[in-house]
Amino acid sequence: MKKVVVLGSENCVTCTNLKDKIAKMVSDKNIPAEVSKVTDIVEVMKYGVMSVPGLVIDGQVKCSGRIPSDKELNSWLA
Amino acid sequence: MEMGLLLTSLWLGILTSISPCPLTTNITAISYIGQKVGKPYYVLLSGIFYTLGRTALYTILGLALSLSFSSIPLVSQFLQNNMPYVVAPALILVGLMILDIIKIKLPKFGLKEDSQKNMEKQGLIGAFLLGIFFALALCPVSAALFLGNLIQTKGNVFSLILYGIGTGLPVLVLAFILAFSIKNIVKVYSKIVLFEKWARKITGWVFVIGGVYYLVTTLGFGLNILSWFTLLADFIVYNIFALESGTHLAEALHFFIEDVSKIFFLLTAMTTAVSFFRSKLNPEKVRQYLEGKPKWLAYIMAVLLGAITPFCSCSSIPLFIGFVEAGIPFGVTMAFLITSPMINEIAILVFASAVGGQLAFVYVITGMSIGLIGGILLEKLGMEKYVEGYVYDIRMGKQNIAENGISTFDERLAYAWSYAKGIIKKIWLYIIIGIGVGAFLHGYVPEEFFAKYASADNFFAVPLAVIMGIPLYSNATGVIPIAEALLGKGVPIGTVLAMMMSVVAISLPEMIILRKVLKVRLLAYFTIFLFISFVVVGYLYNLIF
Repeated sequence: MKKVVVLGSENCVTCTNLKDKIAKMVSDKNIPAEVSKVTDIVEVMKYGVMSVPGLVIDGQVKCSGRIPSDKELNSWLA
Repeated sequence: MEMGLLLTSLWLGILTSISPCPLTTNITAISYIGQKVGKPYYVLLSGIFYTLGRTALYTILGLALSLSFSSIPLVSQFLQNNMPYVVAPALILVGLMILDIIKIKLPKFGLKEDSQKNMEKQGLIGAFLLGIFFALALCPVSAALFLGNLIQTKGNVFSLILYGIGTGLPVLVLAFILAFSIKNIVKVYSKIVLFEKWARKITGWVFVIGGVYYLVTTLGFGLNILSWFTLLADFIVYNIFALESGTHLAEALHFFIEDVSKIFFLLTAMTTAVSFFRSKLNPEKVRQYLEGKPKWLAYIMAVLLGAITPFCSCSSIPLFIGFVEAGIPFGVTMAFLITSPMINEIAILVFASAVGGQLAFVYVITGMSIGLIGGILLEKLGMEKYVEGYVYDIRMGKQNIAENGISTFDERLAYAWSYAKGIIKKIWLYIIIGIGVGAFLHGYVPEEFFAKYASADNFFAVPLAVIMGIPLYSNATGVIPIAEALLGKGVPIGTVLAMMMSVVAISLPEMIILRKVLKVRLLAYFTIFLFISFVVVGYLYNLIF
């Protein structure tokens, strides 16, 4: 079971899009993962991320400030 | 009719016959023709009939198409007047289709299995009919070649016939080989497939290059790409809509079409290029650069990096906190926050293309100076105490300070492209509205109006322009067409620049976001400082220029 956390902020459409994209991918492919989103700034900063959206998988920051490609997501979620 | 053109038609025909999907139908045809291997002349004759069938269809189809175009008066008149405009893009388009760069799905004129079998029973007439039906199986590449031939010969009968013969020729040759020696047939086929690949590539590029050459020579298109958008707007407004030059509507429409095509083209190309080279730069990096630098150097770096670092307004909070947490001085952080939205490297390039490099340069220098002075001033005034207290309690995770995860060439390119798409998706509406307003000003508002209210003599013009800009919020790129139209109407440079900066840098949504980390008092000072500096800039440039 992977723990996927999307880091975002309020009013950030791109961040919501990223979360939806991953949630869809996880349910489409039956990937055992738990997807959540964090918008509390204090929590976001704990990951050392300064540009949203950020993506954290199992405690590791995978990318920040952009929407990763499908290929990247697949390799991270596999 | 020139010999060269006729040969080209034959060549295009041959190329059609060996392009992927006619090739399969041709193979079927050969297997059909080859049934009677025992009778060499009969096989050869079937090959000829098959070729004749194809020729007949292409000739009739070509003539029908060119006649129907020329018999509709409106269409033929349009084509006559605008032939160069149509031919050149069509050549390029067809070239791109041949190269398979542009893929267009055509409905398939397939043969049903049983009717195909029926025809096979009917001998020579069958071969003829087979030719007709297989010729109908136009797939994108062969359709492109057919249209290419039609365009370049303008529907000449001989070229159509030669094209048709060309499409059957390989079958004819193979029929001949089949008839008289059956040994080498497999070898010949594999050679054809290889040959086709290269021949098609070369032909496609010849079409594309020919089209571009035609554009440049007959239409006088310069290599200055920006002038193409003016020509495009000329063509649409004066030729397609047939509007009279100088009317309000024509002027406004011309402005709108030219700016929409130009700005979106530039925006896409430049955002992709810039973000490709910049894919390694992000706020996390900027923080690292600024951390622990002597103050004067940090200030200068902050405004420079502010100008080239992209950051979305939804990131301004984490950015602010991240900077403060890293011990970067308050003033330096504010300098970065002021400069970053005001100077947007892509908008600057678009701006330079619209009003000239000199003015764009002035804008950049001014924006940086305001950021620098603003940062220093806010710090000197002791504004730091108006930062929300919780900001200082946040501890950022250190172990995870991330690369943004882009390294290879492909990843950078993919990043750049998706970044550009994201940007356009986000700001296209601002740009369209901006261009719409600009077009209206350009076409409908008389110069006297601006001369009366917005001239340098009018003392209130500058502050009014800045105040008007505050509630208006737009992306930097969206303001450019408005600035362009205003400058064209003789509104003084200082007034226009002041308005532009105010629209871009002071915005309500940004203030609401910043309110989370800055107390109202600091926000008020922040706004007042920007207001005063824009007004000063306006007066100053109105005086200088």
